[in-house]
Amino acid sequence: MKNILKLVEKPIRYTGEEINMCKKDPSKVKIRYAFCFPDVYEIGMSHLGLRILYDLYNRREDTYCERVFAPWVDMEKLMRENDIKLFALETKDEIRNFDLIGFTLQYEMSYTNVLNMLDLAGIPLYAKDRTEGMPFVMGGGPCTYNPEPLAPFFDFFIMGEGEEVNMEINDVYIEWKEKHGTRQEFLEMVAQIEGVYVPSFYEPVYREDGKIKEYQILNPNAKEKVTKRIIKDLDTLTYPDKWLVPYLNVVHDRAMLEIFRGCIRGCRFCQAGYIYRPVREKSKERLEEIASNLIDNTGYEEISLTSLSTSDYTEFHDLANDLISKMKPKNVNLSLPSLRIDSVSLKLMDEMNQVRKSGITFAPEAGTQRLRDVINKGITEENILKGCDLAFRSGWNTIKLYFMIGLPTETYDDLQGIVDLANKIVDVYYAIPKAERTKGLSVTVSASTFVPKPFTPFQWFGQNDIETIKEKQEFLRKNLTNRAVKFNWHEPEISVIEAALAKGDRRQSAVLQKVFEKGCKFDSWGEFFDYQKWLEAFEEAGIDIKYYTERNIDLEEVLPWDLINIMVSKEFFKREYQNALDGKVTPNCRANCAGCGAAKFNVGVCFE
Amino acid sequence: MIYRLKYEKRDEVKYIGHLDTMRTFTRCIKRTNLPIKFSGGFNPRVQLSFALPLGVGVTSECEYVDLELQDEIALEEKEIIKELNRTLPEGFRVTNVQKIEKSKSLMSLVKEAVYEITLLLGDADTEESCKILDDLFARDELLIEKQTKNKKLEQINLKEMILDVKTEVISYAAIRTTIHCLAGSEKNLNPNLVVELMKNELGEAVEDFEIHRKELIL
Repeated sequence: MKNILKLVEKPIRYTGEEINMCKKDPSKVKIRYAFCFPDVYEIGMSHLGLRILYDLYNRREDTYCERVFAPWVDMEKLMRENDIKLFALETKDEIRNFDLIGFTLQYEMSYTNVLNMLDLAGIPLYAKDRTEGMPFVMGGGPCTYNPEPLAPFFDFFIMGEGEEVNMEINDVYIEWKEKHGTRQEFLEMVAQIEGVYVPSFYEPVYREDGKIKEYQILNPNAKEKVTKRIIKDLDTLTYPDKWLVPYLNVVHDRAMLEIFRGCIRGCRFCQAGYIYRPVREKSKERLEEIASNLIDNTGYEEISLTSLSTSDYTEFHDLANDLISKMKPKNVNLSLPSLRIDSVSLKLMDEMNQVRKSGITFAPEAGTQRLRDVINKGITEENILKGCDLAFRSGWNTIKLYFMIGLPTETYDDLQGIVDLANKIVDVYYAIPKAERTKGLSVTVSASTFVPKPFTPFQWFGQNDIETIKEKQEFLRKNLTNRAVKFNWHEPEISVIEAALAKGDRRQSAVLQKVFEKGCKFDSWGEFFDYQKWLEAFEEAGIDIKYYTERNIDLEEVLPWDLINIMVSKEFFKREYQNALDGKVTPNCRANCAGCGAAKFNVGVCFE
Repeated sequence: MIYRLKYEKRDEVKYIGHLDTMRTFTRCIKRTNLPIKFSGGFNPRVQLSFALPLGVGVTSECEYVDLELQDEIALEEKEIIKELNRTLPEGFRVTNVQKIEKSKSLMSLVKEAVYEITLLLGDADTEESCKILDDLFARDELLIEKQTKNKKLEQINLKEMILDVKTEVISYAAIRTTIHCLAGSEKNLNPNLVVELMKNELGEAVEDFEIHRKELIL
């Protein structure tokens, strides 16, 4: 392997040995665990979940958790030519000899990398082809809430937050190994753990028209519904103090401080807003303690607060001020993503980066108040314009606006609204006397394509067809003519495939196999994504892609993800679906409980 | 107070590029208990100044970096070495620390370097290979094409930069060429280009190679 490292770009992706890497004697542990992130090192190392689980597993004396990333294409080629099997970074040992292989499924477009990595590892793609002595392949992360397109490739999936359930699985694994059980026996044992879904224990039955009739349970150990796991008290969690510090400039090259899980907002397109319910916070005291540890153990120049909506942390301003005063003497910056822009947050941002005024970002998602009410995005035009005015007066001159096109009920009036909003922001800027604003206004409008996701009120909606999306993009391109306004858009093809996989069922596994055989990988990278190959794969598998993407699903239809229970009820989603059509806003969880069902967990925002 | 650190870079960390090495040092120093003297301005930095960048994949026993620490606090050199080696990743090791007066940038002080290029030969005769390389380096010109920054090909003569060179057999299947050459910001020999020349001469016989920076002459 040494030889090939000289021939690849960024060999340090494959050598490990970073600061705070865990070293153990593999012969002294009972479980060798491969944590696989199905993308390149720089992406995977930016992922907080990896760091949390890596730390947690390795605190156990009986387990050695190592990291595995998708080798970049140059490395893969050399590995295949030299018959080098996929190895783990810590020991360079082949992962096919490990006990457990866990993939984190963060986005649909990484699915082909999962198959490619299994293949590179020399592990049979299909769970049914794995025999005694081979590792078990498990999956977790947000995409597992509808794992069906991947179901035949995995031995089991984990629903929800992993800190407790992964440890339970390890305990069961050791018990099973000591009594020399069969593969089937292990699956039966884990199927009894709350949050574990063993797909081979369930069989979808289809109606004549191709829709799902029901799921048949094939094994008495399988639960009727698999309920997601959550951590009830986040303060009880250990947090990685041996934070890995990569040598490479990874995407998020900073320490991350997770301040809460879940989101109170309930934007109707956003899966994260529902699957992580209910909102649970870490205490301010605990966060400050973790921050001190991170600063001392990493040497990082920046700590970022992470959550779905930073400003919604109840003691946000106190926390931010305390952290800033703690970090300033050590010259560590605080970064605050997803802030709501108001005078207080601008003052805070002003304090944090005294010279570089990087841009201010708003995510109105839709161009008119009507459509923003449909999607339940609680931000008004007045909020945005006022925020811009304040920002301009405090020295900012760069505004970024994020929108989605193809949202349910969208018309060209809503698209015109995007144009109008951008122009109004320009007007706000020029209405300020020259002396009070910074030269060089730049307004960037980014429009992505709406992808309906499972476990959202929009799960029943179809996606616009590709021609419609392109026409809408063209409209924006033509009408966003102001010199100060820049328009960014994405090719919609990738969003079509994403939608198909997100709402896919088990039949799509055939498509994944074919598309993998066609050599597709790194599909989230524009340079590798090949739409034609995907369409061919759907066709060869005899599957109509539009059945998944463009079709509006009947509210009473059985959904592929109905087996999974996220503790947010289907009735709630139906109510929200109707509210969307009626343009009715649902208040955030703190303002008023909407009765989604998550209160059954008896914790968090539901009981504040 | 400025301290000149001499350190080694071996094993896996040889794959860390120059910019990444600089960042690694900055973070390691921030994890020590040393009295860091940050630069002024809006973006205070640990004040580090490196000597000649080392290519990716090249090991070294003679890297230099100047580190500025607070004047008021007296420190023993031994203490600094201990603190740094506590926080540096495996493969890096500080071997010497010296207090220095304010000087020109380290980079501008670099004059010459000594590299050891070890070639692993398969079945080829080691004595014979040494002779081939002796002949190679005895030529008046050692021309090789190199890509310039604006992607054009440029022919350069490596011979102009080589001060002394010798090749010897070090084991039954390996030979080592030691090159004393010009280094620094004006004329600098890239050892990878020398390896390229050597491989051209020896052909398939070369199974693997290692480049090691033995000395950096300031």
